[in-house]
Amino acid sequence: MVFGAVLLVRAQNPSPTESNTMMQLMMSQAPVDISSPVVVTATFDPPVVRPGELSVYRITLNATEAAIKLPAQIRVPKELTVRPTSQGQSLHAANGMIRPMTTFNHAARASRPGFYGVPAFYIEVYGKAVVVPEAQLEALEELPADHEPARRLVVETTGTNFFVGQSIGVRACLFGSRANTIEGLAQLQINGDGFVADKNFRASVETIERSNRAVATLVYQSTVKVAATGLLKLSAQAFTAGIDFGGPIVIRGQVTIPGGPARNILLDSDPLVINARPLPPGELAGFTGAVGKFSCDPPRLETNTVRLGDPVQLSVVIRGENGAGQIVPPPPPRLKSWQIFPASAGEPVPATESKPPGVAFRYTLIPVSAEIRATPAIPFSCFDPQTEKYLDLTVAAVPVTVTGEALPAEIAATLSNTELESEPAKKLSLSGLALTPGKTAGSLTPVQSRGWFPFVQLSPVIVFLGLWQFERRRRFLELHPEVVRRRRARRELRRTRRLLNRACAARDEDGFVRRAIQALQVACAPHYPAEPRALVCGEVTALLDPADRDGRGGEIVQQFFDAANAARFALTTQPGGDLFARQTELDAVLQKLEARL
Amino acid sequence: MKVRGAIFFLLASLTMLCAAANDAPTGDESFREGVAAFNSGDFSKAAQTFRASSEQHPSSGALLDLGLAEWRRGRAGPAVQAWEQVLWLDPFNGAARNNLRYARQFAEMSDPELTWNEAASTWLPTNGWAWIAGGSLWLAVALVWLPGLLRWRRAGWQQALAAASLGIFLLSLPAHVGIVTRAKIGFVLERKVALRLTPTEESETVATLPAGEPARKVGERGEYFLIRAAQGLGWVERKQFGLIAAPARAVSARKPERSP
Repeated sequence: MVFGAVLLVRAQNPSPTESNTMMQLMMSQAPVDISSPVVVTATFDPPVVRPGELSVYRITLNATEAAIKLPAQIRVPKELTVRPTSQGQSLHAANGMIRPMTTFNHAARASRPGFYGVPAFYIEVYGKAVVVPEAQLEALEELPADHEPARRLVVETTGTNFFVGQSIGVRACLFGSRANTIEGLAQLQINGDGFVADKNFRASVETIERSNRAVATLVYQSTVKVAATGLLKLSAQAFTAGIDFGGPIVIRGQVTIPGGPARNILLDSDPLVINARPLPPGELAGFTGAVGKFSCDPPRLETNTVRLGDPVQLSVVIRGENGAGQIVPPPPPRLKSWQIFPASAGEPVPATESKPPGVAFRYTLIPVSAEIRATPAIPFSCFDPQTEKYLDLTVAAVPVTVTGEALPAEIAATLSNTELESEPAKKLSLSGLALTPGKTAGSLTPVQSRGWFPFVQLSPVIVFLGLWQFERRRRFLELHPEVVRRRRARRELRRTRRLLNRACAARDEDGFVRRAIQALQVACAPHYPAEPRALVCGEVTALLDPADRDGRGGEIVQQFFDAANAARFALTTQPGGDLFARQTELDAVLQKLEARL
Repeated sequence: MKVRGAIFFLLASLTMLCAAANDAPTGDESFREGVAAFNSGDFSKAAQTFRASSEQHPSSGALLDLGLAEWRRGRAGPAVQAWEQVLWLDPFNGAARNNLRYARQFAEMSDPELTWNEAASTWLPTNGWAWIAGGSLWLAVALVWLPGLLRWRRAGWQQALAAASLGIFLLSLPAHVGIVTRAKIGFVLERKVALRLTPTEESETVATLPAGEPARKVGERGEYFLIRAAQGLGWVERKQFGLIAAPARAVSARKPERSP
C-alpha cells in the first residue's frame, strides 16, 4: 500500500521538460518599453513654404498609439489651417526592448506670408499630461530654387469610377528628391472605408516624367476590392525605411539610395475619391459576385465512364486578370439524378501564352440514376464593368456514361427523396426602395410610456362617475316630482310674465287678460297638482295669503277672471274697466305666488 | 335610450381620439428628396433626409429607406436599427423582415432574443396592444356596472360580452408588458464598440461589440448606457447604441484609421 502510494505521488509531480513551449516563446519576446520618459517632437516639414503650399505638421513621441490622447482641436493662429491626415505606430528594437514610436500627421497651410507658431499644448500619454513643444512655420512669397516641397505619397488607380465588387489596381508612389534619392517604405497600408485591401505589394523603382523632369519614383503596386457603394476615399500611408524595401525590388533607371539608419518618418497621401456604383439589376443565374473580365475554360471530367454511385470530379477553371483568386465558385444545381458537393477551395492556375492566370475549382459528383447522359450545366455569370453587362459563363455539360443497375446500399440509405426533390433555396436580397411613406405614427415611444396615457385610461372612470351622478339625480327627481313641477312652473311663469308685459305694452286687452289668467294658473298649478288650464278663480285665490285673499289681491284676481269669462262666454261685449292700470297690483300678486314655488 | 346613445357616442369619440393621436401628417417633402438622392447614388444625403423625415414623423417607408441608405453606406448598425423600427411600427412589413434576414445572414449578426410575451407583442403594431387592453377592460367594466347603474334589464349577451372582454384584456396583458420590455432592446451602431466595465472613457474593456449586435438597456448614467449583450454586461456610450423605441440618430464620424 505504501509503495503504491509513493508511486502515485511520484506520477503526479510535473517534470521540468514538460513546460509549455508556447509560454517559453512568449516569455522570450522582448518587452515593450513603456517606462522610458516620453519625449515629444513637433515639426513642420518643410519649415518654410509659400502661402497656400502644404506643410506637414508632425508630432512624434515614444509611446504606444493606444495610450495617447490628442485634443480634438489644436489651437493655431487664424491664418494657419491644420487638419489631421494620418497617424501610425512603428516598433523598433533597442537595448533588448521594443521601443514604440507614434506619429501624428496634420496638413498645414498658411494663407498669408508670415511667421506662424503652433503654441505648446498638453496631451495625455499613459494617463499623464505631456507637453508638445512649440513648432514654427514660415511662409514666404519667394523661396530659394532648391526648395523641396513636403514629401508625400501619391495614390494612383486605373480610374475613379468602379462597380462594387470590382478589383482595382492601386499604385502608391514616393517621388525621389531633386538628387534622385529614394528610400524604402515600411508598414505601407492602403486606407479607406469600403475597400478590402490586399496585403501583398510589388515594389519597383521607375523613372516618371514630372514637371518636365525625369524623377526616380518608388512604386508599390497592389489591388483593392471595392466593397461598398458611394463616394469612397482611398489613401495610403507608410514609414520611411532607408534601404529596407521590404522584399525584392525591380529598379529601372539610375537612382541613389542613401545609406544610414532609417528615419521612420510617417508619410501619407491626399485621399483619392472613388465613385463606387452599385451593380445594376438583372443579374444572371449563378452570379456569385465576380466583377471583372473573366472567362471559363471547358470543364474537364475525371473520367467519362462512371459506375452508378461512384464519385467523379469535375474541374472548372475560371480565368481573369484581376481578382480571379477571390472568385466564389458557383453553387451546384440540386437535381434528382445527381448528388453534387460544393466546390473545394480554388487552386491557382498559371497563365499561358494566350490566357491570363486563373483558379481551378473541383466539384464532386455522384450519379444516382442510370439514365444520366451528361453532367449538369452549372450556372455561372460575372459582371463586366467595361460593357456594364452581365456575362453568362455557365459551365457546360460534359457527356458521361453511367454503368451499373442499382445504387450501392450505403448510398441509397443516405439519400432521401425529399432532399432530392426539394426546391433550391431562395436567395435572399435586399428589397427595393419604398416609394411612399406608408404607415405613420406620432412617435416611436409606445403609448403606455407616454405621460398622457394614464389620464386617457382614467377618462372612462370620469364618464362612469358622471353617469352615476346623472342616475342619482334622475332617481331623486323621480321620487320627488314636485321639485320638477315647481321648476317647470317657475320657468313657465317667467315666460308668461314676459308675454304679459309685451301685451300690456301693445295695449292688447284680450291678450293681456289671457296672459294674466295663464300666469296665475301656472303659478298655482304645482300646489294641487293640476293642469294649469283647469284651475278656476276660487282655486287661485285659495292659495293667496288670508290678508290678500280678502283684500285687494283677491279683488284683482277676481277682476281678471271675470274679464276672461266675459270675453269668452258673454253674448255681447261689456265694458270691463281699465285692466292695464292694474298691472302693478297683478305683478305684486304674481310675485308672491312665485315666491311660494 | 338617450342614455345608451350618449354612452355609445362617448365611447366612439374616445376611439376616434385615440386613432387621431396615431395619425400624423408625413414629412412628404423630405421623403421625396430622400428618394431622389438615393436614386442618384448620393446615399449620404439620402440617409440624412430620410432620418430627418422619420424624426419629424416616423413612418415605415422612411425608416425602410433610411435602412437601405445606411446599408449602402456600409453602416450595418443604423440599418438594422431602422428596419427593426419599421417592424415596431408595422409588424406586417415583409420588406423590412426580408432585409433584416438578409443583413443578418450577410454580416453574420445575431437576432435579438425575445421572451415569449415579447414575441407575442410583435403580432400587432406597438400601440395596438395598449388600446386593446384599455378598451377591453373598460368595456368589461361598463357591461358589468352600467346595467345595474342605469337599471337596464340584464341580458345574457351583456354578461357574455363582459366575460369575453375581460378575457381579451387578460390575454393581452403579457403582450402589453412585452411592448414595454421590448422597447429597451437596442442595437450597436458603430463597428467595434467597446463594452466597458465602468461608465468612463478610461475604463477596462470587457468585450468588443460588432455593429448591429442586439442588446438590452438595463440602466443609464450620464453619457453611457448600461446594456446586457450576449458578450456580457457593460457600459457603452449613448451615441453608439440605438434603441428601437427612439429616433434613429446619425452615427458619429469615425476616427482616422490607425496603423497596426
